[in-house]
Amino acid sequence: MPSVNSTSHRPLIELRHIYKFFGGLCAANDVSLTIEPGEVIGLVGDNAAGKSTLMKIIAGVHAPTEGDYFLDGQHFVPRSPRDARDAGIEMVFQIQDMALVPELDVADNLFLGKELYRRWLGLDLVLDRRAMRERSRGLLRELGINIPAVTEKVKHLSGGQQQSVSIARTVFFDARLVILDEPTSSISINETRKVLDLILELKRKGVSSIIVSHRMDDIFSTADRIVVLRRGRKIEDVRKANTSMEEIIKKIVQAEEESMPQGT
Amino acid sequence: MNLTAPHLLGKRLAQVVLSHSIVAVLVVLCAVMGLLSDKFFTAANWANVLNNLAVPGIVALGVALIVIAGGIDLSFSSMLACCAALAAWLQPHSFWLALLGPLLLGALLGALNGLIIVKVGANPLITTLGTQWLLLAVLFILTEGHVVQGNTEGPFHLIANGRLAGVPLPILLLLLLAALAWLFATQTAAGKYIYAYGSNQQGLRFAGVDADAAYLKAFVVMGVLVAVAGIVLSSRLGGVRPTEGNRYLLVVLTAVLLSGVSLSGGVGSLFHVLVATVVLGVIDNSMVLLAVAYKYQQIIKGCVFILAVLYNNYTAKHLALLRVGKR
Repeated sequence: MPSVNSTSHRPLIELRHIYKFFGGLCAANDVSLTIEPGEVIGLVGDNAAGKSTLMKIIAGVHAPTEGDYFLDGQHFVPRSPRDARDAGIEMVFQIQDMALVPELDVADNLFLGKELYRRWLGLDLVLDRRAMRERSRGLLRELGINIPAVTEKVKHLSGGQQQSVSIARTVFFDARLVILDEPTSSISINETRKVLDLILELKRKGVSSIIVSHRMDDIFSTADRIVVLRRGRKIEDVRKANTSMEEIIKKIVQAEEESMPQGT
Repeated sequence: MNLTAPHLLGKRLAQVVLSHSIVAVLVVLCAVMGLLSDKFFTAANWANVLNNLAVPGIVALGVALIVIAGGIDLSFSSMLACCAALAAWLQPHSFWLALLGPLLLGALLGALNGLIIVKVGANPLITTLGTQWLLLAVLFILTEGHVVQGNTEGPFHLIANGRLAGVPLPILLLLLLAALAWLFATQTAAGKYIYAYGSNQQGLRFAGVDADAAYLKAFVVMGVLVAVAGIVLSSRLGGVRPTEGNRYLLVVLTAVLLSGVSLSGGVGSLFHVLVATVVLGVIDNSMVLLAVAYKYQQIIKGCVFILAVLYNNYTAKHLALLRVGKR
């Protein structure tokens, strides 16, 4: 686990005056944002408010048209999601986007692309499934994830379990910031709690996260700070303690009324 | 979710039986044939059956890998003929060249198919149908339609006709390659990625794996396997006609389908592919032992192919159904 840098107070991530244009559409309009190590940000806004664009800029999918992106106080220009991932920024997609491989088992998925090998004739050729299963069990136990067996194929897992495996995998990738896009959509209410607990568990390990969700309960039970976007602009950035669900909903609804006078 | 709970145990059992049903088919088939013919369970008969299976069996392992990766390769018949012809052409000159040359050619032809499919994003069915005709045409031009004649004695001849401890070499070669291919598919990262590619290539890419390279490797491995089969074929025949590969088209595809390798990718066992090949060999052998006329043999083979397709659909669907309750 990356240790929280105690020598300075620089944020993990800092965006300064980010703009992103798609043709004439301004999807990010002068957005500035900081994320501290271990901080959980709830990102909300109506449809087309620019949440997804902002996430993708941080995850290296899009390059900002203008503005600066700092990581650990250093200027950061990810050329691809790969660059962002190498820097410890992981994106967890919605389960219906199929980031996992359904026909592989849980351990094989957790170690996908990061396999452990049994040295054989001086070559890393033969997979060390035993070690991978052992470490997978350890990791799932440590994170409090309840899955029947790490040898179970992912397609046999429930939506919540799949989402948990996706999130657990970011720990294997040494994530410092996990971006979660609607992490509780299409999973049962019982399992929602477990996924949210997992996010708090990551926080205890010093991992920051950004949660995008339409469910205010999700946001308010996990986030330290809540950021509201409207038409690409950041219109609110407030500590959870200093606001309420009503206030945030009002901001979002107000945004909808202003941005869509002709209705949906 | 407790998978050993009684109500799930039956489901689990059904799943196990359904996913290993080809083994049961083989056992039943052998039992019935043992009753119908007293020649069936003789060492000479089995040596004959398995010996004939070496070529299609080795090719089927390679084709199964491609299907597991979510693709298909129909060009193997022409690749087989090309490799066999090259071996026949080289073997009077040098034993080692006659081994190395076809292996290299097989790998190259596999890579050619793979590159067209991966880089252009072409449909594998159409692409390999194209290369099937292309390679056959090239072979016809180079050989002018004649048999490529090699020596019918010497070390090369021994590959298909020699015995080790009384067992014909092709049988040992088939078993050895099946074991190696199985180890490759189940115990290496490259094999794991082939399954992952067939199941969800998006997920493989997302994990940062070079998915195209993984897919390409399947084609190269398949090419090498076809080349080995070509060498065995060449050694057995001595002289190779350009059309030599065509008669393996149906049996190889039937074996792959019958083994339960899913046409939608990500599912399949190379052990089952081997078993399915043996099933087809036993069916062939049975028809000979029971003196079924050749024209009817062809009809039966066609029917078995159709049945294999239906069976493949059936298991895929029912394994899926068994899954539903476990969500």
